Amino acid sequence: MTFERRTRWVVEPSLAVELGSLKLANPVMPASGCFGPGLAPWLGPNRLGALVTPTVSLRRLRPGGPRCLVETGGGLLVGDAAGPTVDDLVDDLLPKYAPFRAPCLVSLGGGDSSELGALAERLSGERDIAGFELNLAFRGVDGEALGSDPDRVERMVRAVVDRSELPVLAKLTSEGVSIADAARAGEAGGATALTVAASLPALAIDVTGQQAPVAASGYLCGPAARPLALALVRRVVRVVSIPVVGVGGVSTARDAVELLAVGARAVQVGTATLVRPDAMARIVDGIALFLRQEGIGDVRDLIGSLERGSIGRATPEGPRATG
Amino acid sequence: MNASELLPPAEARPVSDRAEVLANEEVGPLTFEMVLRSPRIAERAQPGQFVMVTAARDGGLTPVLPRPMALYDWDPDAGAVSFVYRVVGEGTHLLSMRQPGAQVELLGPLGQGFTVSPTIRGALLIGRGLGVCSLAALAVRLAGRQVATHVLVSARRHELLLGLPFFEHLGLEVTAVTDQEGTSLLPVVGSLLEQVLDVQPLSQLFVAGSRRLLDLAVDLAASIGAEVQVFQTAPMGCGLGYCGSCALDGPGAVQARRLVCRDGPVFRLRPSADPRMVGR
Repeated sequence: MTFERRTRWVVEPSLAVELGSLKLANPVMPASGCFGPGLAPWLGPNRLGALVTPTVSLRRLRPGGPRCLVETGGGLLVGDAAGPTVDDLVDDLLPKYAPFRAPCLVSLGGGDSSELGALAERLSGERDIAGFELNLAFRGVDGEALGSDPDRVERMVRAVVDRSELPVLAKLTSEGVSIADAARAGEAGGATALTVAASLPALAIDVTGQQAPVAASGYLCGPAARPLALALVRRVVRVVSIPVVGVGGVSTARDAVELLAVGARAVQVGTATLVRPDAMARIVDGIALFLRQEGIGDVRDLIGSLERGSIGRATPEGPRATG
Repeated sequence: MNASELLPPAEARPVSDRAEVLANEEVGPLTFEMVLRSPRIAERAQPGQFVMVTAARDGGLTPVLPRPMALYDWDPDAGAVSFVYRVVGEGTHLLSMRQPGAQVELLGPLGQGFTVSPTIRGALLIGRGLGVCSLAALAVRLAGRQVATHVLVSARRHELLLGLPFFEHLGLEVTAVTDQEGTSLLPVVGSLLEQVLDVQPLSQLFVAGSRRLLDLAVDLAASIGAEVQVFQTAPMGCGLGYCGSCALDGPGAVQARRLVCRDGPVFRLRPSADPRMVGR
């Protein structure tokens, strides 16, 4: 008996998105500091929409201890640690990112506009850099986050935009500032897109005195941050016309879909990669699966669908990237 | 469980594995040995390597961080690996509740393991507390190559000594010392080790689990021109070299410094090396 097979042609949904002149194969990239060459076995070539480097500074900023990570309810407190200098990046890190074959965004950190401008100029000539992400959570000389003052946001963004032809993402912080004001300032400064938002300072203490350290401060990351990210992204997309990249507690494809639905053009994944190294790959696959299940042919039709009122059916079972 | 002599793998890349728990038995106060089926890790593992273990239950997102566990024993033929852990917090508590048949995510094997010199003339293994477990597979390899080997196991109390039957079963000379009996005091241990030197040659010392015993080992090694390798522990986050949690102190970016997960956990110390260079 012959068995006749009928082939059903299924069109793969398109995952491509654009951030200004940056063309990404899909809307998923790591958050700054949450990626390294050691992830190569799980995130092969062309798997990610873009790469984001740890925050780079002009000079060595602080002496070296390890980065302190403290678990807290629903997330992680991430402490500060010395990041790469420009030379570390160019000589050591960038060559190791080449096998991933995704546009590389360099995260810039500096205390004032002249440092940032110098960084931008120094790196603009490098062949393997596709753009910059300006880390506005970086502390200025007064100890405040650069991004906590809208005028300063505009100045810092302008300082980088003026010294480089490359696209500039401004990673905003909601610390001490209205995110809408910061967002407008970023757009006014010439940013190509806005990353919303940097994690917030938080604290964990151990009253039994048995843990070391007894009091640990750091930035709150992971699932606990996700509802904040959704609110901030939604707020920002309503006040600017440039694209928004959402970040904060994205662990699963469904989390990513939600951020896209409220208007993010792309998402960053941080803590989830610590949970499992292939988290970003599973999120990309999960977004594609969701689109297929919903009969959406292009991820761009999902972006902002909440605001357009074209969301509202019960969310079907989607794959979870972790667990 | 016997670990057969491992051939060096052609590809030493770590893998993620959803491993089935085969056993999770108490081996000491608040101390468990978890045995899992993971053929891919079992065939790759080398003595002194470790795995990152997901503590969160299936589908759970927290606790977020995987837990680093030194590999204790493994059997490539049976496709099984094991590690020994002490319940000290939320993650290890959750692990202690896992029943046979449950699935646990493993990431590994990771890191640089112990190196046995082709011209080794005698070995001394020194382990304190849980540190002893990282030395177990090394002992198997040394016994298999019939290298004269002495094992010193130290702990605070007698019931906290780990691995004694394991090493004795291999036919190795074993000395157990405890704080309780006063036998783990450094001068006592020092003279014990001098006696070991009387009966066997020694060219490599392997130490785990105690800073003070490491210092003693370094002094001893310096006096006889031997090499020391130390299994270094550190708080860990990713296990893959990008988060900086396990970076040893020093100048430079966290990613550029020596990382216990990537450049260790085993570090080799030359006889003239200052053990303080190794870190916490």
